[in-house]
Amino acid sequence: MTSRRLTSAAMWAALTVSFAFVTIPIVAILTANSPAALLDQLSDPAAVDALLLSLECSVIALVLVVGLGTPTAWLLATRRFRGRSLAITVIELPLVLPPAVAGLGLLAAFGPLGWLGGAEDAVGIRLVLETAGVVVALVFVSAPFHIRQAQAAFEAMNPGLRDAARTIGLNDAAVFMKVAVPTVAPALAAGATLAWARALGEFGATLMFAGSLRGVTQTAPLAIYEGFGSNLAGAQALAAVLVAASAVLLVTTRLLTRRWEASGA
Amino acid sequence: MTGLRTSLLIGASFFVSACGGSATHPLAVSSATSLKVPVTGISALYPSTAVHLEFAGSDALATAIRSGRKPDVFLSASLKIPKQLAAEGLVGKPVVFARNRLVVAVRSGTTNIGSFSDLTKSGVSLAFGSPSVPIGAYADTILGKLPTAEAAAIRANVKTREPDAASVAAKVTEGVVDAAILYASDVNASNGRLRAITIPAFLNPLTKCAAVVVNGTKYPVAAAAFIRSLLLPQSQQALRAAGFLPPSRGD
Amino acid sequence: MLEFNITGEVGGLEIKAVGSVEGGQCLAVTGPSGCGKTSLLRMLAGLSRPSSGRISITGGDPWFDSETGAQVRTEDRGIGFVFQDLNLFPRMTVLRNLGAAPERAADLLEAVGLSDRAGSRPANLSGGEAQRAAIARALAQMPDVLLLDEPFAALDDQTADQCIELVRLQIAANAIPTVMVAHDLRTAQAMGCESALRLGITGIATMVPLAEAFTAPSH
Repeated sequence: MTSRRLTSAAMWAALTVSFAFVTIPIVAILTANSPAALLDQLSDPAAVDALLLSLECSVIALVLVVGLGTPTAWLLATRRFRGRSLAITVIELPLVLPPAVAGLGLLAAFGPLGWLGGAEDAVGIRLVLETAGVVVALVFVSAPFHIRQAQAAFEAMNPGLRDAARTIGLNDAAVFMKVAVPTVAPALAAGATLAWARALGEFGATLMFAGSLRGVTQTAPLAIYEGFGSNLAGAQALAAVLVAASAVLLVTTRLLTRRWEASGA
Repeated sequence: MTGLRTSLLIGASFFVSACGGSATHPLAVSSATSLKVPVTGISALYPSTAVHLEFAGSDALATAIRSGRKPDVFLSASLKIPKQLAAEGLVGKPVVFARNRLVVAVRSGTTNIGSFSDLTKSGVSLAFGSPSVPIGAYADTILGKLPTAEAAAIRANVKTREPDAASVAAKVTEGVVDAAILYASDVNASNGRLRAITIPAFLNPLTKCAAVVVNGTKYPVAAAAFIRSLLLPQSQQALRAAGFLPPSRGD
Repeated sequence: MLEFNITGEVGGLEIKAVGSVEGGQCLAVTGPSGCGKTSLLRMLAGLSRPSSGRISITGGDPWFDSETGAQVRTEDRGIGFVFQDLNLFPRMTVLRNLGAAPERAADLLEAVGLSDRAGSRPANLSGGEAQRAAIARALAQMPDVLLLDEPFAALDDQTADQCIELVRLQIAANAIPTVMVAHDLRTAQAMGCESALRLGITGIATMVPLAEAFTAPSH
């Protein structure tokens, strides 16, 4: 009895420590500046530029991730083909890659001296130093968050629904669009939200691949890093905004996941 | 003769203080990224002293000191930052141990940029350090000395402002930009991948690298000895080999 | 007319079945549980592939022929299928579940007595209502062949009789060959089945008169 109590107390202590460990830095960021000072810092045009650019790039990246990632996840979940598990591993790799490695990889592939640099020149595309390059970096690091979740959702979907959809005359593409996507919509939305949150926080790959220039490539995390050296209060204000946005996205993910589980599809 | 003896004495005191007392903990040295090559080399010259090196932009390291994450020694790529820290009472008196020149760095084999004035050409892309980091602040200083139109032309070509010198250099070696304003030592450290184009002397701020003991260190004697060791001949030789200049008499 | 002579393996169990059913007629499939009744329907639907044999329908290319390698996809076979576990689409209304033009869907829902549930989600239907929705969905496709897997099992007698009547009328009116898995003679008779396939653990299942199939084991 006593030992069970002790174990229980130890577990609660562990929970308290874990909670405090995460909470204290977040509260510290949010309270580093008075609300008035926070608003004042955020009215700085450079901060506004960074936040708007982050919003723009992350939304475009999200559209690409959902548009390309969802059919990818469907095929991975429903087809068995040679190289499938290799494909899954490769697609999920950015989840565990250091962002700096992602940045190096993107440069080696799409940089001016990279594999596709000549082809990009030929068709007049430029990614490095451009907003488009930020989007590429965000897609690279955030796509697996959506694809993984979508694949799991499609795999968990009752296979009878696919059969039923085919008996009412839907081909594989129509099964995907008309039945599978609506059926697992909350799970897809949860995956997309998580990917969005990851994209909003992206730093290393963006800096290495796209660069950092206000209004063009300097997203909020890059502005935070620059501010760390020169304008700590401004950096903290931007950080507070990112904390709030991430919290909202995370809560959204949880609610969507709960709804998906409740729907029992 | 006296100089040699002094330096020997300094060296001796460095070793004594490093080995004596309770200084088994490695000396924490935060250094500007631009000093990475010589500082790493110098720390290997004195193996009896364990030194833990950390590299980042001078401004970021200064912020870390202000936030309370204090190393024992701070090596800055500019004199301005440690002077400010000293004025705030956070560090001791700055010791200038090297100087650096600024150059235009281009990839070896680049032909479209042959002189400083080519930076004004339209279509040229440039990487600068961010304004808060010394390499970026120096670049801004150079532009400030130019006629407005030329400065504006160059500024329009700046496509990225990077958080430290290493990051600026990488943008050139990776072909992301055509050129950058960097330290001569960065070009030296690039193993031939970068080529330096001289910036005219009247524009070129000779930058000073300064070392300070961070106030509150547990090892003030070892820290001071480490800084003095930077002035020893073999240290200075390592700095020279890395493309730095010795401090001038007045420093 | 639907004709089949197929061998298939499902979960280590070999199924051999030979049969045919005319348009407007219903063939009952019976046998002990686990003998592959559902698997037979799935092979007829093209949801699983027989190891050999032939499935053909009058007036069209063979649906399956192991000799020529012919295989028509499920979605191109023009079938209506009532699954044993229904498989209604959970995030669509009952009306949209039917996957047919709104007027036809509304007519069918009225015929199965679900007009007032057209806007409901399947999760909010009773067992009987869900079963009727599944029947309506199978009929909504104007199928060339109807495949029913215990379609009236969850219905009370009165509702079952109404649905049987509806399905019979549709089969007759459109001359649809129908194959139905049934576990009781009464339902098979009510559907007007004249013959049945009794699947066993071994041997080839062939068509026998209805009464015989439900009275004695085939082996």
